[in-house]
Amino acid sequence: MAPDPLLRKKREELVREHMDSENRHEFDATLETFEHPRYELIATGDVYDGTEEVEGYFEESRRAFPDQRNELLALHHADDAVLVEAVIRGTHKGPLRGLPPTGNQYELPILAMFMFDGEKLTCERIYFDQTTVLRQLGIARDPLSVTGRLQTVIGHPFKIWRGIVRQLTGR
Amino acid sequence: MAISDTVAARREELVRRHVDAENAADYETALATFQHPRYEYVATDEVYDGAEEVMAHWRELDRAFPDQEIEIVALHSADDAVLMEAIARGTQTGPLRGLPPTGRRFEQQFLAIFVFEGDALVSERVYYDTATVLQQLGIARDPATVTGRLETAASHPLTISRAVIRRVTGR
Repeated sequence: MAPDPLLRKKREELVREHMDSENRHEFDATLETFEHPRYELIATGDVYDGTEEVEGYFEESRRAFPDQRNELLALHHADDAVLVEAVIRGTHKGPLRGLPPTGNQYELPILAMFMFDGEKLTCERIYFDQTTVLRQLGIARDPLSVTGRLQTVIGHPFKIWRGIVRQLTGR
Repeated sequence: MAISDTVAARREELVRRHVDAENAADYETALATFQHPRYEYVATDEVYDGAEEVMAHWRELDRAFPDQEIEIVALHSADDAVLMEAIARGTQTGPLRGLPPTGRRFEQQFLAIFVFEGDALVSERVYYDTATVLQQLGIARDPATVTGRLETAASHPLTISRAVIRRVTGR
């Protein structure tokens, strides 16, 4: 059952306030947009459930990327969700899970799925590419580029060797 | 302008036919589901436009992962698109862009936006995480794990030492 125009409007306002408050760094306001605060990051398998864990996640992102901002590119209304295509930009100025700050900037396209129960926001599920971030921070190379391939061969001699043997022997 | 339930049902049926044809490696049928064949991969910025490029792309995937299969998790109909959450699985028994076959399996959840103009499918835009696939194929490591950190430090001495210096000097 497709949401009526009024419900769409309410959801869209909530999603925009969620994203704007993140840009204003008013994370209490961001938290308020949730009926139940929850993030699911598909790429890493990370789930932050409940106020405490979500606050911890905001805190970690703010420490690593204090200037992080989002820009909304497109918004798709579905029955139980609003799906947003956006770009996130930030500078790596603080530690990120044990990795010291690199000072590098990154720009990352994401798809954020805001899941609704009626007009209540219950979860934000995010699809993104980790390599895009790590490459721009200078801590990973695309293994399919020439430099990346050399690095793969150097860093994984055994695996590559097995692969070559398999290719030659056909098993 | 919200679409009718009939249009949504027709589009979802077409998306299912598209995925079934890909799973059956019946690429002529998959191609025929497009009004204009086009793929956009957000993670890598790759675009395959037109029948020839899209066919070549499918053949490349089929060579690297002959058993690749897509399982639909959820379809979300929006005004101009059907957004599909799905799980892709496959075994790399063939070469992938110069990398010899590893014989390893990958499994990952991704999101594809099937872009429609009326009833016509004009593009598929895919959000996925290259790092998840490469880690599972054993040709990249998660930089947040201990082995990954050692490898990052070993292969990116300049970036890391710059970051350490920055941390020590506070600039």
